Amino acid sequence: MAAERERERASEDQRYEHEDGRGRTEQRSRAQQPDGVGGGEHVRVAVIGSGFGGLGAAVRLRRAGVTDFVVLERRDAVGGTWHDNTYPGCACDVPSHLYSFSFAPNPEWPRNFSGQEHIRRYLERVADTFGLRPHIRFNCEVELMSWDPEELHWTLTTAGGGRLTADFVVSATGPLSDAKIPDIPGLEGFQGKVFHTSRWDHDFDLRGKRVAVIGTGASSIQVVPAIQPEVGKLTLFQRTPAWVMPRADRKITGLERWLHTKVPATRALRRRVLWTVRELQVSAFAKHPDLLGTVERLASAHMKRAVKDPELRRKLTPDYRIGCKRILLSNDYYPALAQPNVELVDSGLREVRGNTLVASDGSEAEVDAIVFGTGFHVTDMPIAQRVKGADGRTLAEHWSDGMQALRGSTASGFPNFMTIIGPNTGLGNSSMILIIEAQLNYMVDFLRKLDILGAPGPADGGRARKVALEPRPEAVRAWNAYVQDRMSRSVWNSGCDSWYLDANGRNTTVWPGTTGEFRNVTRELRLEEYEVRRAPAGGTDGTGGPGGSAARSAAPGRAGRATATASFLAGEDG
Amino acid sequence: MAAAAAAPGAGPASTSAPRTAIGSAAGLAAGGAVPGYAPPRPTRELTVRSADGIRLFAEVYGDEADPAVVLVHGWTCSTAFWAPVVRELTAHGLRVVAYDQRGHGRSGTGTPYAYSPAVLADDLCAVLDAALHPGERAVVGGHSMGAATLVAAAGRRQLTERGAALLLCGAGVRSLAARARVLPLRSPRIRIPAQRLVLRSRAPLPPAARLTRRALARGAMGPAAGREQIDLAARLVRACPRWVRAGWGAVLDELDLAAKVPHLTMPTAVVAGTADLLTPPVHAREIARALPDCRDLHEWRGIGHMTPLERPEAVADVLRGLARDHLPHPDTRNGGRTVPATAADGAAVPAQHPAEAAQDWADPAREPAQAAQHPAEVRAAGPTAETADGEETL
Repeated sequence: MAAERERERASEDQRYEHEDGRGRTEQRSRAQQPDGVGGGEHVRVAVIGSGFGGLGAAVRLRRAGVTDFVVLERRDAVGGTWHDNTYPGCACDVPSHLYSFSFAPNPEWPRNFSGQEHIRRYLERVADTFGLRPHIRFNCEVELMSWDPEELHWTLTTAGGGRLTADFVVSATGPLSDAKIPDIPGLEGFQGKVFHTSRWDHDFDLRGKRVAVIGTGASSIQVVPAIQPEVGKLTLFQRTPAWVMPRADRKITGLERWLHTKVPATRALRRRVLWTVRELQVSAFAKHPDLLGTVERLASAHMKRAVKDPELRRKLTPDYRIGCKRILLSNDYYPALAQPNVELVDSGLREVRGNTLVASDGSEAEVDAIVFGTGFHVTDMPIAQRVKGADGRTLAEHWSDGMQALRGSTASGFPNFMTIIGPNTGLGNSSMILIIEAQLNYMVDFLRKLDILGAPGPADGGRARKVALEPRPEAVRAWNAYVQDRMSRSVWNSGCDSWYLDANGRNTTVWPGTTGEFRNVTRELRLEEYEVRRAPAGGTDGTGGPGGSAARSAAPGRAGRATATASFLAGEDG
Repeated sequence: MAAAAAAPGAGPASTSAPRTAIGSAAGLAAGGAVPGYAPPRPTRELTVRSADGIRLFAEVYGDEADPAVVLVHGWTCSTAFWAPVVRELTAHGLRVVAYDQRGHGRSGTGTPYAYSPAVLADDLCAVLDAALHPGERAVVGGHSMGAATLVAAAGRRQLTERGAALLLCGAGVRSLAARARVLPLRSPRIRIPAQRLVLRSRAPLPPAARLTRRALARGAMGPAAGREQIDLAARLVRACPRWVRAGWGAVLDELDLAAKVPHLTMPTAVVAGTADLLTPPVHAREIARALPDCRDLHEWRGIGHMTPLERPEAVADVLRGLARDHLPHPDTRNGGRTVPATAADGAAVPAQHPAEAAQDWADPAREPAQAAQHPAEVRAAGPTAETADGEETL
């Protein structure tokens, strides 16, 4: 499979080479440099990551007329999580017609729930169609970015030793990017193969092997049925069972695809219907978890149809309200578990002794390979350790008590910086692309406000002044109080341990409302929630050259705000 | 032009009496030889690859040794749009480079939903690099979406290195739908959404050619526009595929490049028609005020959106003036020095700073005073000037 993918990629590359001629070759040669970032380059915007968030940001930037930006990608291809996760059976839980950009319709989706390869190819095509390739620097992992309060810009250092400065940073690294592997005693002594679902080793042949899968989350329930027919014996370690709903997956017929191509309105209608249904579900999750009992009975019946063994049924029945942990969709998970070569261990993995795995309840299993389906660092995003704010402390330090951001996007102490899919933006039931696009509206408005505030005034001698916007701590607090208040009644806080909750049990990942509401609250950047930082007139020039003895503007407070608002209004009227 | 002056009745039937009077006056003011509206014969054709691999079709007219003018056409037009201007310029010893914007004319279409201002800038930069001699600088002129192209390319290396001076005709960089007065609807609450719909419409043009002509003449051209001019415009618009029209229309609807204008650091002239309903002169005044080096703001009475079609000689004169002042080899070829002073020459007299001139742009009463800055236009100025544009200030 890996070889096939490689071949396909190679032929794709060849096609590009052929089609794009000159421009493409130039890009390639630049991409082949250690990490494609020259020393001392300055850009207006640096986007980190080239998954849905990063590519979407790039498209929206170009639409807003901003072309002075780079997209930094640590891998050698776009796709983000859809590039990394190549495990067998990998697919999306949201119908493809909703799980795609509104501005890049794809009438050709092959299935209701398309697989990883189709989603990855869709993102490749987005990168080509929107002319994003010249902006992307591959093999360019950001090591550190720090805010320079004097020059009012971010300095980014990359793993290859490159350095660049940017006025504005969009961190689109995503919550599902850094694999989380639990610290299991004795794992280093294990002789067999070990890998995480997001780093699937396609060269390792599982046929006839004894395989352990750790975890029963969204990745695992897709892996298990995909590898079960091949492996000799499959042992599944489960700490907590998940609610699994039937998956209404089917091939999208040629007729539908033809119709979607010829009459785009039908595609738009399809998306609208998918979206509306999910919007209507939200209030049950967020306000009336007691209504979800019916859904539980549905999921229960779904399980009982495939699993006849009462003992297995008992193990697979969750004891928490459906929706509290992520609801999983699968038609073949339960039938796979009922197969004779699968054993379900109703307990977490405690330790590894040689090639024997020992569960917390003492049961043992000897295996040849361990697959960790243990998810990602979601509530402790590793990128936060690499972002240094105005006070020299990292974002991770600021967030040591849990992530906190304003409108899911910006963090106090981190001017001109925003996170795509930041704190409290996740969804339990709908497409994250909707959230991403809402945040991109916020990003475009952020840049627009920076432009307006930085426009040269009468005293500036026609030179634009550098401006930075930083969320006020009060505004961040107020926003999070509001979000947590809404969260209190929701199903996510109904008493279960999930990856939505951080170490303190606070839900810092889910947006407790509809995507429409989120779109509304991120429609524009409200200046009253921000401090304006300015370089003094004539201090720094646009490229942050030497000689800028800038200081922070007059102490944050009323005066700064009034000026900001006044000059904003002036910009509007003019 | 002569046609317009000779037969004012040939203009759109909706023109009121005073407008016609102004129109014919404008026609007379600009009067001269009948310009040819047929596409001129290029000396060289070339295909340019844009950053994303799309092929763009470009033409070069005139002698390769002459100083160059690059022309960028607007929405739903093509290189043919510049025909009369090209004739004027090449006759006066300038070389002209014109190209078909993406999706228009003979250029590749790409994906209309992926169109963006950045794409416009990419395409222009590719053409500047490919069509000009190494290291050569040129005067770059854009009309409507072509003017937006220049603004979108502000700060790009190619435009900074190649652009000696710029001309923006019928330009608008933001709030296009909100400020346009194309649809004769009084209430902005109805007019603005309706205009946005028109911008983004994929609907085919009405089959009745006369209807399209009428609508076009009313919406895009001044009351004095002659039959030949309207014919050419109608031909161009009809030739534009409707999905390309909708694709770029969506870009124009969302256009907001105001922040980029201050980055156009080269000497720039701005041209607007006072009867322009598509991009009323508020746009031009706003842009002129934001430009760091605005040399002239020309407002031509009774002229609509299609300035290069409606007054090709005057537009060519402005371009020639810019070429003479900012390109290394001034125009010394046949006839170049013998052409009588026209609008451009008059306007080359340093006017008051545009920023001052435009400070009261919302006040229509100020217009005649400002028009007096441009001698050639005084004759066309009338107290009954269209002031519709001044009302829409937001």
